Amino acid sequence: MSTTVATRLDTEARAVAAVWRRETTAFLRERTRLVLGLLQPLLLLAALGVGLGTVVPDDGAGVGYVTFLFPGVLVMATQAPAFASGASILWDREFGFLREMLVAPVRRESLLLGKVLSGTTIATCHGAALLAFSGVAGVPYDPVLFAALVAVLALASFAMTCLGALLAVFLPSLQAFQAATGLLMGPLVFLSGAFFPLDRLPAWLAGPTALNPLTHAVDAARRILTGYLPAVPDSLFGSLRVAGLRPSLEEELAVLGAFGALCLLLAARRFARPD
Amino acid sequence: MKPGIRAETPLGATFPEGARSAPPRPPAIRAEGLVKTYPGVEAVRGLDLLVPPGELFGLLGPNGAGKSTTVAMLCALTRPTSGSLWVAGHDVYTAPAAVRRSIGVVFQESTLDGKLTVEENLRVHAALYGVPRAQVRPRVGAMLDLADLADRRRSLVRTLSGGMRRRLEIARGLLHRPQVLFLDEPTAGLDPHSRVEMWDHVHRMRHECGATVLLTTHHLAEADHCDRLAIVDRGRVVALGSPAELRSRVGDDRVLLVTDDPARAAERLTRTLGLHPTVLDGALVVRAADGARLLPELVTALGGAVSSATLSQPSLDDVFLHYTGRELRTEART
Repeated sequence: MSTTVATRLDTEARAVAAVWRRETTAFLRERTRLVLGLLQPLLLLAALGVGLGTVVPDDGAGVGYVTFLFPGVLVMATQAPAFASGASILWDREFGFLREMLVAPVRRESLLLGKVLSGTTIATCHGAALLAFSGVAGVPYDPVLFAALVAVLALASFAMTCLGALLAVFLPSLQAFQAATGLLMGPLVFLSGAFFPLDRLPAWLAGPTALNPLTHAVDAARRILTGYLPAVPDSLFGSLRVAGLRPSLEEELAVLGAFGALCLLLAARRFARPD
Repeated sequence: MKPGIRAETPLGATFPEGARSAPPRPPAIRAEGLVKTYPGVEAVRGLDLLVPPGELFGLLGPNGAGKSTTVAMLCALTRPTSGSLWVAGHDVYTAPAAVRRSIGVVFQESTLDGKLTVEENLRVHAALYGVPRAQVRPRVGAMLDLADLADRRRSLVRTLSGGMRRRLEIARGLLHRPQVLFLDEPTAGLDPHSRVEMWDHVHRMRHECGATVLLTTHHLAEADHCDRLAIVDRGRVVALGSPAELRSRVGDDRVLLVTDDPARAAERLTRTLGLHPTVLDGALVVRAADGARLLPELVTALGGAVSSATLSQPSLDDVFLHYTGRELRTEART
């Protein structure tokens, strides 16, 4: 009995790996996609960081607005590729490859898991590639810092990829998906604390920001970063409070993981439903 | 095996010569009263099919006859509304995974990944179908050879021609050694040359892999490749048989003979073979059930006075018209 369970698990694991490899192979082949994906966050870093940096007071410690912005831009960079992974489910339906996968003798949950894991990988790569520009934002090139930031980016990517997958399996068409993600992306980024500190927002906005998974990703990345900076201005780096309490780093990471897992679970249930 | 042992088979059944060596295989496909309704549409309305292992079986019918829906049910992709359906001995309701392991499918629209290479497409398929790891490399190699794509193994699929893609899809469908291969409109969108190639390929693959093949088509010329055909119209099988049988049920063959003296030749055929040919535009017309067999006899009986002979068989168009009262629509090729 245990051998048949092991065989079945192996079969499913191979399917997950096959889907993951398919997506990442195509990603590695299209390096222009990565380069183009990096341009927008870099432009933002340059335009907002430099532009707003002249308005936002510098406390004199050399840690200015650009540094504040950097973790937010890292998280933001993962968002578009994470949603693109959800869109690829609908593209696959359009171009037929989805049928090749659906007719295979494996569980549909495995196919979706492969999709989500490849999307997470690709989105994390987008964010991690931006770390090359750390110097511009006054962030030290420290391998331990980078590893910690990549871990946060991976969890943020997972959460957003799962949200994308959830939208993809419930929405009828690619057009609807693009409309929905277009609508979501703005509020998710703007209310994440990526661009401005959240501690002075009016109370009615505190609720939505606390519910936004990206808020926790940005705050997690930023608090990790501050540990590697000499001194940070409190006016900018005020800490995030949810219902008056300061969540721990572990709690923030757990929120990201749990949000992703919940979306994945709901998506898998829908995706596995036979026609 | 001795005759005495034969009676001891589980069901007490005896098997014909040649079938004795292997245990009896279940029918490749057995469908009874298969129904699929979508809101407002009855796509399949009580379809019965029995396809023995090893057959090349065709579902012939116009677009919208329910062929693709039937294939989707056969692949356990779509659940029948009612009726029974077994594929390779597995029930599609209770054992869909076993059904999927036993089948290969080539859908009407391409389901290849254009961004991957030929070989990568095959490898993804091997992993999805649980082909034993040690066998992936040799099988991929063998299939590439069989599909004549060995020199394109590292090409991106989007750079292949339509004919090559179709060959690759058929090879991919057979990579996991299915018992039954479904080909849904396999020549749709192919130019005439690629179509001929595709058929060569299907026959070769079938010879190598020994799979049962079920294909759907609305092209009569292609139905002739099949061992047996079911003519499907409005979700039901309206006729079943070999292409020759279906033709002979519709009408006789016509043999057209050109001779120097048609009247004398006609009289001679009546005397020697008991036939009653008619003379049409100076040529003799003989109607017979099996014109191909009769033709040499006719030529012999006329002692070499025949200057040309034409044999025409009723087309499957005639067959379709006969059984459905409508002509097969000929679709504009895309």
